[in-house]
Amino acid sequence: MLRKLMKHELRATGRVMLPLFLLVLITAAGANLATRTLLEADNKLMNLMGIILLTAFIIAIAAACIMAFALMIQRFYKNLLQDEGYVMMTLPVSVHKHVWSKLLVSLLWYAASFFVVALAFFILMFDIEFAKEFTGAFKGLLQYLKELFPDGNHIHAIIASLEFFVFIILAIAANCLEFYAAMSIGQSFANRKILMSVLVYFGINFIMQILGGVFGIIVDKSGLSFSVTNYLDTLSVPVTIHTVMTGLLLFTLVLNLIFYFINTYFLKNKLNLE
Amino acid sequence: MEILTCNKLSKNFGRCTALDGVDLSLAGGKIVGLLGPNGSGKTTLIKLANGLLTPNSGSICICGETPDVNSHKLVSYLPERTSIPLWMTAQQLMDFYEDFYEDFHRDAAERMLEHLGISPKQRIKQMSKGTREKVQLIMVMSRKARLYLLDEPIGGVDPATRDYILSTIIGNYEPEATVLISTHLISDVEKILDEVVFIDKGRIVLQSTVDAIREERGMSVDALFREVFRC
Amino acid sequence: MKWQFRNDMPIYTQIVEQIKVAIVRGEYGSGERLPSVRDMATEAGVNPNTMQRAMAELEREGLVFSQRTSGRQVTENLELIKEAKLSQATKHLESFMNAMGELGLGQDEIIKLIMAAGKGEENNGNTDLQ
Repeated sequence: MLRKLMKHELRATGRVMLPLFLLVLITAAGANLATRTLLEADNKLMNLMGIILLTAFIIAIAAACIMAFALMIQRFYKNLLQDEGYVMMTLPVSVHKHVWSKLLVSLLWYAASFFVVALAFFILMFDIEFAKEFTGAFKGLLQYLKELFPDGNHIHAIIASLEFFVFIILAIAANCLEFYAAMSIGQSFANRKILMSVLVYFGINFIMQILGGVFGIIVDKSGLSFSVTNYLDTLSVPVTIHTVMTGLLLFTLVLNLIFYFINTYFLKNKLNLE
Repeated sequence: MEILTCNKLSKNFGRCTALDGVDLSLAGGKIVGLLGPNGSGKTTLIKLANGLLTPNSGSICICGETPDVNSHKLVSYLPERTSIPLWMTAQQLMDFYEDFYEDFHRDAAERMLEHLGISPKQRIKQMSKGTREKVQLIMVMSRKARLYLLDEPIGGVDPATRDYILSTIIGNYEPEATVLISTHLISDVEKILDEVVFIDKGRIVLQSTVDAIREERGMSVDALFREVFRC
Repeated sequence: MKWQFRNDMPIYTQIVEQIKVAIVRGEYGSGERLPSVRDMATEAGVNPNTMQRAMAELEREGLVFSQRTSGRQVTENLELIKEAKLSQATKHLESFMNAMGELGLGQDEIIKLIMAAGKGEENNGNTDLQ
């Protein structure tokens, strides 16, 4: 059932995102033309054309990024909690699958947007000179990583990048689930559901900041930070990185679990569609 | 076997009581009218049966199950307003129902759409309000469900469309299933009902068969309704 | 078939009456197969259970009978159909006589009126009641 939910979710979102991506790539080609010839030309009209093409490119990129974010919120609210929710929430599908389907498809579009934007910049910059510079920069990055993990510690480099990669995904997922959780709580109120969702969102952030502050003070006052820094100092660089990354991963994982629980609890037990 | 049972079911929105201790039991093989004035609790009852609302107290069961994934498989629900995704084409909508409901009969849906001259390639968004309601009803009635919950299926459409909708309901429901139709347009649905349930201010005030009302009181359900709910 | 229902009596009894009329008039010929209950219900715009009940009543009276394989058929017994025709006519006549009685008309006057109405019809529908 999750696959079917995702199939229809991709249909619903793809019809918006895919044309936008195409637009980004086309305007990137236009912007490439603009920077290489039109803007340099002696002709005012051509200069103007160049500026328009470049602006179109910037707007297209902004539109794709904003749309990926807006769809994440809009699909959850409109599809599950407004009129369409009458159809969706009466499907023989658990709320868990609904949340997973929305989350996975949103993550997918974020990732796709990232790659498309990267590809667009590549198109924008592309000429022979740039290709050389790009490979040069890439080699530099590899060199830097080699220095960070010396003497056949390549495996650490791979693991660390993997950890970083997973961390990014978990962080974005937590962000999505936080928005979902705010909407799931917001819809359970009898009136002013949207306003309540927004308030709940800021409320959640406020609570997290308070907790973070309190945690920071405790760590500071108890001298825990001292011993942690001391402990980390005794470790080699790669192990330090792994330790810190593991801590971050665990933290975002817990955040994800909390938001996920709030979501499914409210959608299952406090559903209040009007 | 009881298809739908409510036990002391209550629901309030803030200070406003929508349902007040409803006891109700509907057997299979019946077309039942849930009749009451606006705001009497009809829609609330149907939403509770679909798990779209959660009761404040009491319980509601469909074939012995509280509204959940399992009961959704047994219930075919027509909401009070069009809620099929507007961006879909009729074709995509049928894909959608076929994917999620094992009891969806695509051939029946296609036949009914064709009968109405609706092209599968047409987007729901491009259809008129009445056509959208017909399309959603076709999806709902193309399932072979145990319980059909139809919330105001003939509200806000012209008399010809009303006749079409009612004959679609009679022509397609499963004989063992229960059909619950909520409406305040009683004279239009009266002929197709076995039983009626009168609801007023969140309470059930009468449950009877249509024949019994006509035989014993010598009046139509419509006339009885006007008498019971005289302002 | 054209269906019309009144509000003050059960629908199934009205269906029974209307089908009887249809059989008497030969719209459903003797021995003819009837459509399925669901089709007839959809056509009449009534609940299939109501149509079923009406059919059961007609079966009880012997005007239709069901066969396991070929569905329901109108009786082949012409006597029964004639009887039904007569009983319908008698019923109409009774209510006619009652209405005339309420107007204070005696049998002779009524017969005169009927004859006059019949003649009137022959004379381009001109019914002059003096």
